[in-house]
Amino acid sequence: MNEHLTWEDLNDVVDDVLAPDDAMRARAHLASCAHCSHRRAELEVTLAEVARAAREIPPPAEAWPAVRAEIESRKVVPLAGMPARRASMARFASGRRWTLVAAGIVLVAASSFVTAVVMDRTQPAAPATVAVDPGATITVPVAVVDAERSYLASVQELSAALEAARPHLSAQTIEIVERNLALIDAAITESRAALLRDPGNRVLLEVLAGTYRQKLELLRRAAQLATS
Amino acid sequence: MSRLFTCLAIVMLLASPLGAQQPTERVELRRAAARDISVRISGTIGTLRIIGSPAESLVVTGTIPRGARFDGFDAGKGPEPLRGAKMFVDVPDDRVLASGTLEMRVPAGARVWAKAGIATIEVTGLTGGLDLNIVGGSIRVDASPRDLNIESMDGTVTVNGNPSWLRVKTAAGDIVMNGSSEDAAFTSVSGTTRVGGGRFDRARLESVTGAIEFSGTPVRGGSLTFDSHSGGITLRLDPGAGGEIEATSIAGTIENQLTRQRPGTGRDGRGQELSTVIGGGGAHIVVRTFKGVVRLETR
Repeated sequence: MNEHLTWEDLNDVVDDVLAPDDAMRARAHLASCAHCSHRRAELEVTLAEVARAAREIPPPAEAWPAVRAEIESRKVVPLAGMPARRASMARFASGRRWTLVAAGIVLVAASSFVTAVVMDRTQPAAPATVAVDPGATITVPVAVVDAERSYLASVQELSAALEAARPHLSAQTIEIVERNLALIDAAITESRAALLRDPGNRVLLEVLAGTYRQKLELLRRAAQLATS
Repeated sequence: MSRLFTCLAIVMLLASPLGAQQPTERVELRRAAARDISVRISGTIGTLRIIGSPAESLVVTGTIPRGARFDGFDAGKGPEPLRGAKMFVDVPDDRVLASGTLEMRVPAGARVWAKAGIATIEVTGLTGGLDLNIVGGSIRVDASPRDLNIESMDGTVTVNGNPSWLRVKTAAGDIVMNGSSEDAAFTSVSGTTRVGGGRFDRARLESVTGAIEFSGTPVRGGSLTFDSHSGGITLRLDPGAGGEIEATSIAGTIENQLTRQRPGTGRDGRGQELSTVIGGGGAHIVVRTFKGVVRLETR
């Protein structure tokens, strides 16, 4: 076996589900191929970390003063413009490993927005003065700005994962995904514009958070479609 | 772990009198199985029927496209009943369409994971766990698995049953659920979601543009949450149901036929809001939409 092991084969090796003959060939290749051996080690480390990861991490109560101090220290936050969804989604250099962590990205990002909503509900408002246009500013909860940044970062990562998966997806699947992403982006643009007009509207914030969650979920699912 | 079967497909070209159907090959597999066996099946499958049965065996029969490869591995040892099996249908190239029909009989308590592209998946009699994933086609579950997770891009999803834990996610596919659940979540971007018939302890229904219709019964102390961007949200509740309803349409309207209370104007003079109590209270019901129309009706 001269060719490198596929991602699926590596997973099967780690899961110990290969047939005996295939497993023997895979082991022989791993013994002589530093590249595959390294990828296997990385995969095992990732799986071990995932297995050790807590399912839920409630923030300690004593952390809040520090969080509040950090928020107060930066009241002026530039609000990033919504990145237009590119007709061709972002480039991505690596392989489908991203799909393994896609669900984690969704969870982290989603929880950050929920946290923002909850904090906004339970704590005194921590406003941030946001530059919307030159000469115009608007005040929104700083937690919301941070949460949106987190979402946008996650969207970019998952878009990259989807781009990597693109060659493995059918034209029909890509069409469905892009059509629905367009609907989501239009909804986000509309909700976000409304939020800038009415920054204290918590219901609007929760609706926007839900739409962001839908986008992350759709990107995750699309990227994962290519993995088996 | 050993190979469950190696190209067990018996080459048998099924003559098509009309010559329009794709030639197929026959598949047959029969093994004793543990009652809680885990089974994974994926690949290019036209129709997959999953049947939970009292028999402690795994039986896969049917046809696959000619030229396709049906392969699998088991997690059994010697003559012991299988505890796990992994199967897939592989096609040599994209020209081979997903066709053929596989019928998979598993012990009712099995955990089954199935993933296909454009496919029809039908499930009956399963009480264990079920995880289904398709791009297009349809999924129909007439069963009450303990856990039920379904993801579909464009395919429609129909669930008739009472899974304790239920998650359904689609992009454009419509969702229909008839039954009850202790913990349910339905998410669609543009598909219509219709949920009704039974009792729900916790349920969350979310869409972006798709309409949401709910006609179930909230459980006292439970919670129901409905979110959409522009999709209309219709709640049809039993006259005897109890709940506190908080409804908001930020830029849309609310039509309330459940109580005499009239919705008020929303923040900044836009949209409408309504807080009302039915049946002396009970469940916590939250309805939020950006510009969808909210309708509260008696069932």
